[in-house]
Amino acid sequence: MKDANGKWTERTDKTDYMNPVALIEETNGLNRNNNLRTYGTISLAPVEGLEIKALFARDMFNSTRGYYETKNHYSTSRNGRNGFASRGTTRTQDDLFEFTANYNKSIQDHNFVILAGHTWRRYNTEEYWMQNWDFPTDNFSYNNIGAGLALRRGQAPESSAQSENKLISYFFRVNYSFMNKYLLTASIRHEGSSRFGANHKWGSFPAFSVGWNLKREAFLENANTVSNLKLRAGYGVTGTEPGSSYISLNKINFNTNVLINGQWVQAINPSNNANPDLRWERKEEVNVGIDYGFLNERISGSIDLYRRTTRDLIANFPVPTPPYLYSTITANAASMENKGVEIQVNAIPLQTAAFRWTTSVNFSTNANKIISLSDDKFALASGYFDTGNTGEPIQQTTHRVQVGQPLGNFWGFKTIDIDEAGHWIIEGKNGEPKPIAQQQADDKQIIGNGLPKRYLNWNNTLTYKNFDLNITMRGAFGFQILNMTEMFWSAPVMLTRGNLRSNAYDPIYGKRPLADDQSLNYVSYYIENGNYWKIDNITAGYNLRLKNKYLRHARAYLAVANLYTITGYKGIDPEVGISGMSPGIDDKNRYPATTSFTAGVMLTF
Amino acid sequence: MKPLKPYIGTALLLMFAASGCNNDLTEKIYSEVTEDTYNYSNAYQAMSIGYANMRNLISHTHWYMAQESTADGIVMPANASGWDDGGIYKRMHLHTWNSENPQISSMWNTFYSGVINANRLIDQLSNDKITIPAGVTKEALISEMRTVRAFFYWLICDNFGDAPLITDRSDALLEKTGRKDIYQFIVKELTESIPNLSEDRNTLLYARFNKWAAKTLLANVYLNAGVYAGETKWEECLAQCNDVIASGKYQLETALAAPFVTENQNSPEIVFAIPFEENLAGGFSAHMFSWHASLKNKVNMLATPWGAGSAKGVPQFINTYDADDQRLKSTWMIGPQFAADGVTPLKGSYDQAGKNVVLTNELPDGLYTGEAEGYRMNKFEVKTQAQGSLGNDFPVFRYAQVLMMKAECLLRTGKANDAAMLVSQVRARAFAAKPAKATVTGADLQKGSGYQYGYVENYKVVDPGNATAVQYGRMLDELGWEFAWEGFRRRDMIRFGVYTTKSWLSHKPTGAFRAVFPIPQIAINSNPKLTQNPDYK
Repeated sequence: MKDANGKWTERTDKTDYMNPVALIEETNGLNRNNNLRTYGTISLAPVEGLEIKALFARDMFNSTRGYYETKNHYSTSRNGRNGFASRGTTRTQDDLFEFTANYNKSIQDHNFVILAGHTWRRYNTEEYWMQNWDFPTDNFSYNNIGAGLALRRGQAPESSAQSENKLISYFFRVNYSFMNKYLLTASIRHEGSSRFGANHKWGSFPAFSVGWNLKREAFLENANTVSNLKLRAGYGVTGTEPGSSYISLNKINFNTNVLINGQWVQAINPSNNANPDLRWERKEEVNVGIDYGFLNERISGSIDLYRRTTRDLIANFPVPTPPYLYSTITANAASMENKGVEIQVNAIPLQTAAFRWTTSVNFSTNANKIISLSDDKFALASGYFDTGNTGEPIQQTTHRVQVGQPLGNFWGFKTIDIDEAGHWIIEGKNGEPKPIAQQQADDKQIIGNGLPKRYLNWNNTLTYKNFDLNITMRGAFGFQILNMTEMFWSAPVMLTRGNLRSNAYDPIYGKRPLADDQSLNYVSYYIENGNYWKIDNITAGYNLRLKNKYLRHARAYLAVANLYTITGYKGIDPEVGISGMSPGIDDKNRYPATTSFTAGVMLTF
Repeated sequence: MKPLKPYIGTALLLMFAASGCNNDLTEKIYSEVTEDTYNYSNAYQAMSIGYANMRNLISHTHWYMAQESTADGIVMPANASGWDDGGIYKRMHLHTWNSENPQISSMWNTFYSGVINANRLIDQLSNDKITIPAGVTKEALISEMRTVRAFFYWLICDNFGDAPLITDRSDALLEKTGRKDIYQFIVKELTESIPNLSEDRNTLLYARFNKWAAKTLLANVYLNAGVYAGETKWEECLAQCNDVIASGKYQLETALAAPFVTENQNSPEIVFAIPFEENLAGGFSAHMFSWHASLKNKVNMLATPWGAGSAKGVPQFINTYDADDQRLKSTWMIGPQFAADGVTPLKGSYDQAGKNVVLTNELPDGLYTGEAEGYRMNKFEVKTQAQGSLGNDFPVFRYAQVLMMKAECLLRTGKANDAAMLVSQVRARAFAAKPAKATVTGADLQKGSGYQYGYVENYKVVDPGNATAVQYGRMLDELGWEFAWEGFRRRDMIRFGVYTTKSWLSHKPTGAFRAVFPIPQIAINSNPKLTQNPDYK
């Protein structure tokens, strides 16, 4: 850790190889955040059944940050920083105005609820930061940033930015029910966002649903076994805006310097491929469901069938250069379908005077399919694009998004064997074995999928007299994970970077280890099944009700979070990120999930 | 809270509902500016992005090393510090690159962003969207941008062969245009533009295309016409070189190293350069990817070279130098290495851990070498306290190259003795200590190459491969000695017919189709009208 002189041991000659303790000990950082929420409401009931409400709210967030790396930090020993400081601050302001009018009216067996409303929201962010280095002393830490010399030399960067967006909506909804037996809801939402192209700011999103409460019908009203039975069906459209502002504009920047007439000046550079046609993403959902309850709700739950079709999906799509200056554009160029079933069962299998066991199971499935990758303005005519990134040094994409295929397909070389010299044998495009050195892009194939097809959650609560025990478990099934940790650190060639996992010299396919000169490759050998079942949380408690005047209730408990995972996956944790276009990648430098034990006492006065 | 009187509340509500919340959804811009709202009042600043993007070319995963490490002078093997990087450098040496090698997509993207920016600027200039400075004409600036575009099309034609030819701001997807047609487009554009360009060589025109830089570009295009169009243009090339020489604007430096020093912007030898500045305009890092990390202490660098470095001389090439040729030592870093004090030996970190770093001209092969094996980059000055980026301008065209182009044209048109005079002129400063050796004869230039081509295993040539004599091989050798580390080698080897026929180090020929790179896979995926180059399927 430290050498004889008490200096941190560093190998600055090796790339990406640092003393991890020194990284912690020689840095100093603090973020201070303030959050201030103010709101006011006014409500009025001018006539019976009518309620008018106005809500004003302002959320303000301020953050002030400071960070320092001392002269003993790697940044000095490797990059000559001689003390590095940065400061930054962010302010966000979120203003909301909401106006709603709700009218409730019953005429004999007919009941109406009418809602009309308007919301207005503005979100503003400002931030700035600065860096400096080469300080006369470490004593300042980040508190005297002007004392560094790098700024004077024109080396230290600083930055400031402000952005703002608005979201406005008008909505109208009617709920109608007849004898509380037949239910009907219709609504429309007209919504506008500043983030879209000039002629595409507004979108309209309707929704309808019908319900039939069978329990209210004469033939079930007196049935003892059935305590609840309701049929539902609905159709609705919702809109999604993009995650950032100013995408539709043809922005220019001055970040590139250029020599003109002996002076370095800022070149005028287009920043992005502008998309003036950027518009709302629309999610259409059709849903049929049943709510049930039997034996006085000893068994209850619901079953839902759904199909969600996302049209005009907003994402970054690759576009050809030429004609585009940059290789991606944010556009509405995909549609995608998700469908499945969701089953919820709640039951009380055992109940005595002293003992009670309640259990609930939730099972869901999802099947995903890309329907299209083009629209009228923009066509990805090859029918696919590749996304996701292995990172350096492999520098390849990991996933293929392809029409007719589900999202999340891993796309890479399929390894089938290892040769006598320790090099991979892959399957060529015609199914023939070939050495990996002869790889061509069209030898790649689908080698897995990172999106789980099925989820199962199971919660149990057992109470016995004053004791209670709660166990929650969950799992995901039918998917694969790219084990980046193995792919990078279990290949002998990575010894050149300084370290390896202990299994790096284990035989591959039962034959021999990978050769020392086998380049890193993104291959199917590192795609593993990810199925898992987690015992997520167990809480045991003891409750005491007291007659005491001051202390009414006391509870002592012991809780364990993230207790145990049953899985065949070889990495640290099979629960990996599954959002976005490249789900199922297990990051190579991931911090392991912690198991925590909590013991506590709760007192109610 | 006391309930408000209903009428007060109603009034308040109506007031708020109708009030301050305006429904204008036009995006409010604070720290951005758009093409529609910006006033292009400074033409040079607007046009400069066409030049600024050229800096991207000079990287180890871009055009620069794609020209050098696929050729016979420089190799980028892995070593104990890394530099395998998924085999991307190895495949360049072996000529087994595929359409997903990052060097190839980087070239494609930078070349075409140069073309697209030039198309936009030509359009903006033509439509008076850009204010023209006093003392120049709109035609001159449009001609300059057409020359910039021709420069990028030359790189496209040279590296990819058939490729889309886009000359306006349309966003239509295009098919490939034949290599010969692109060549003819370049010649036409340059021929039409050159008369409008300035003849001045001054600070304002430094690192821009004046008439002489454009003529040198056209000469380079003609020089390789046989490769691009199947018809040689030696006389046309010669005429352009003669014009540049006759202009009297340029001259050879006396000192070998002068065009490559940190402050080389005033060198009279530089005809066209890509300017760099260590803080404001970085990206030239030959020292970072060639040098061993310990060499940091040789010049008290503020950055640390990457691992044990990778780009190094191919010993078979190094062996072609005459021992008295001073370009050997001014181009390559050789032998035992010391800290800035000149006496403290620098130490190894991996297979030579704790031992003195002695750079040797021995490589076991081109795939994996010892940390101290192989000569390193010494051509560009690395100044004391250099950072990760160098401030030396990268000379794209030098006066020496104009002279050597002229010599090659003379040689190939039967005037070997005239050619020899020019070659001797360029050689003179390299043999300042032994002037007699500077002189070559026409007969010398007609000899084959001194390069001992052949496939190497374990430090030794084990298979000479194709041993056919290289026509004008001595001229090719001369080009290698003069222009090593300047991005010329691939093109020169192709023109002399050795790039896809000879073996060197771990490289064996893999087919004539490797004389152009494949269209990057990402370009093909997003534009189905593009077909892959022949034999890359």
